[in-house]
Amino acid sequence: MNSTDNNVVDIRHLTRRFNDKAALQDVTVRIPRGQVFGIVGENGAGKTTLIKHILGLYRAQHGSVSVFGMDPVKHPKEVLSRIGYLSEQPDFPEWMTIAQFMNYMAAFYPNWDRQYAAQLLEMASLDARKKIRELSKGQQARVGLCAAQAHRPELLVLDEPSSGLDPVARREILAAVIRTVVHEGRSVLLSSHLLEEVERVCDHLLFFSNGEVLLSDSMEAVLDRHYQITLRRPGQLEWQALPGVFNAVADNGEWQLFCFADIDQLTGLLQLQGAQILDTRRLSLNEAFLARSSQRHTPGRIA
Amino acid sequence: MYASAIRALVGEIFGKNRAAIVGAAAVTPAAWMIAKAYLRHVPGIEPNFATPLGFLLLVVIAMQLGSVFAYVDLTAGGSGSGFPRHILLLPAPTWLLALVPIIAGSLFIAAFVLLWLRFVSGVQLDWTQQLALTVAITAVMCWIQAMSWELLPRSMRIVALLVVVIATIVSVISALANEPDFLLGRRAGQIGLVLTSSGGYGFAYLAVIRARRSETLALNASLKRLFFSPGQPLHAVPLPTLSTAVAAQNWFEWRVYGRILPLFMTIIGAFPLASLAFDGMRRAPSIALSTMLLLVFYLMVSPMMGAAYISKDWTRRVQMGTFAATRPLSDSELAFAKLRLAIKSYALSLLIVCAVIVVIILASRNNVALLALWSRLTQRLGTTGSYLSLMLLFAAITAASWAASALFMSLQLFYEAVDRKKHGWKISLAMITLFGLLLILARRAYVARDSALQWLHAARAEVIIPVIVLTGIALYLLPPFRRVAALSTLRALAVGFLTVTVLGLIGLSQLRLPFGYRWALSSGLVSLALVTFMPFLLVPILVRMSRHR
Repeated sequence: MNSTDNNVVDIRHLTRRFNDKAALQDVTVRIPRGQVFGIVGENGAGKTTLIKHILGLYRAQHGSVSVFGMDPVKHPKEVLSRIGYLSEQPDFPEWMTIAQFMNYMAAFYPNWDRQYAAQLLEMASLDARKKIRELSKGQQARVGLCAAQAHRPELLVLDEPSSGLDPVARREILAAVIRTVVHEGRSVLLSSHLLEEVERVCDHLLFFSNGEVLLSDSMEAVLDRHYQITLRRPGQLEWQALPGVFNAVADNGEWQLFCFADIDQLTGLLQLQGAQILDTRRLSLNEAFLARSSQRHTPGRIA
Repeated sequence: MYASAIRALVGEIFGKNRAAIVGAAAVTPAAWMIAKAYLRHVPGIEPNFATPLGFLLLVVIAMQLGSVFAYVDLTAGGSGSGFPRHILLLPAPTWLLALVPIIAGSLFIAAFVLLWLRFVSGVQLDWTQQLALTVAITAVMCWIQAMSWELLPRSMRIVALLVVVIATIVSVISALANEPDFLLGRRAGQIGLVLTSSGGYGFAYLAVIRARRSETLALNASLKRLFFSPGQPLHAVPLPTLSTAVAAQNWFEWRVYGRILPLFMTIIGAFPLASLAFDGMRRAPSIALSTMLLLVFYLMVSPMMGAAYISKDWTRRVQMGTFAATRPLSDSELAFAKLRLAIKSYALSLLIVCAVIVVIILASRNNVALLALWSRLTQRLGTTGSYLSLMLLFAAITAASWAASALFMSLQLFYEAVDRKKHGWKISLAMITLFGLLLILARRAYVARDSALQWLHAARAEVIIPVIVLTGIALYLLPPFRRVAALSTLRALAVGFLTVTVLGLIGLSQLRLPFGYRWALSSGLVSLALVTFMPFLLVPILVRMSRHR
């Protein structure tokens, strides 16, 4: 299996504009097989737009999108039959019972496993005789999760699945589903604004802001290399020139630098410039996200 | 206090839907004047709006205004989402909330209708007729208002409104008729009008109370409570066998959209059938002929269903939802599921209409008008020709309604697929220009019809044109010329078109009709073939555009 075969999604230099607004700008992403790939970013960052390109609902204006080695716009049937998808606001046919819905969905996927589907419904505590319109939003999300999963898709795409799920369902059902998928060597693309959840389940993180990829790295690296440095230094600090520093706050001669870098190298460099390091602290994913979200003037400053 | 509440409510209605009100009330008379000016240049045709078509136009505009005067905000992008719920929080009594839009709407629409009748159609009504008409409009407004307050589940509203509109029309015709015993009779008609308007207001009032509590009448739950005790387990719904993805999609389309039109036609058809119970109605000289209006209604309603077939569900905003777009089907399979649905639904609806007409004709035993029509036809075309014409007429109705629906579907898809902000004005301009050009072309063709027919006769155009067009279509659908995805439906279609070509040509040569009739038949055949074919060309392309933006 060569490197191209190993990527279930291969997006190159994708740009998408809606009128004058650039929703995606020169995005290059590769999702390898067997990984849980997390996408985070503020509202309107371009997460859903990227997912819609993967599903073939948007055609690439510039650049290319390849899913399982195919263009999802040219081959929707072949691509979609290998994907399980749960959207943030699922628009399921509410007039169906859960059993009708699962029966309907089964016809589309040759690999649909009825026994597994029944297990998933049982795990999600769903009564198959109930109509979808009678279910709560959370229960509808559970139905969507079961339906997205029951054909054991090669790529499971979850677009903000947590918005409908309660904390118990998130922690137990979602995590169990993701574990199963990865255990079977399949891939998951998870877009979420719940960073704790992303931190807990994802292997790789894609950080989006204003349609641009600010960061794409393994979760381990993301957690290991995000630091907050507190230092004192008289006069101005040209922090934009420092490698890996993406944001800074000054207060009464004290500086707080937010960086994604080798901490030893960076503190050494700062000390050489006459800074007194007061504290270094590893950032949680949540803190790193907030610091990056407030970063507006330093595009591309990624180590 | 009441004055300020009334002002706020009237402001809400007029302010939100200003464009729609001005559009319906002002642009339509302008269009009428343009049409009148246009027809003035066509020799031999006098502008006359006191025709069924003119009255139909008036009813359509009045119905549009009726929905405008409900509280629904038409600018919000959909009937479901446009309800300004903040009105429910106004410190106004419930009866006022229900009454203001009804009175405002009724007065405005009644004034509009009466002015139209007086100045456009030239119909003079005495004051009792004017009053009856206003009461009828108020009755319909009451019911429109009751429905807009979400009294019933969305899927039930249109059906309920349809029933009420029919009951009101029957009442008003009975009340206004010159013969006192026409339809229900004058007295029953008047009582019917009073009942429908007062009942409508009662429902509107109840609906406001429910809307203020965010309640909807849960019909399903009420019925379940009637038949099952609360402790009883739910019944499992039998699951259909869906062997393939295409079969699953066909089943889905039918369940969501397919039953609407047949259900509508059944409801409409039930009225004339029920009227057979009344001796006076059964013996009415025009019952069999007026039942034929069902066909006209079918032709009016069916094309509009095309737009509804594209919406996420038929009562909601028109769009291809993410769920539909992410079905693992090819674009052609998605498109053909819609087209197949339309064919099935329309064929069943037409069957219902025909069955009702046949039952009425047989049961009424009073077919003088129809027999007169039939004898005129047989005198002109002979018995074989008459039967053949009748078959052609029904085939044409089925094909035309289906094609019109599919064209509406195409238009709706196009509307969804294009960037309206960017290209909307260009499209509007192009459409207006095209329409204007077609009108000019039609007028020229009409004026030059005699010399044009002579030329066409000499060129044997009535044979050559159908051969070229129909063979072209058939070849397009057949491999290896096919441009859209390979589907077995297309093979069947190609065979169908070829068969129609051959039969049409045999018909043209065998009927021994004068050239004018042959040319009309040939033009009809070509037009029918083109409008039937166009959706097969357009819908797959537009589904693709709409699915992958």
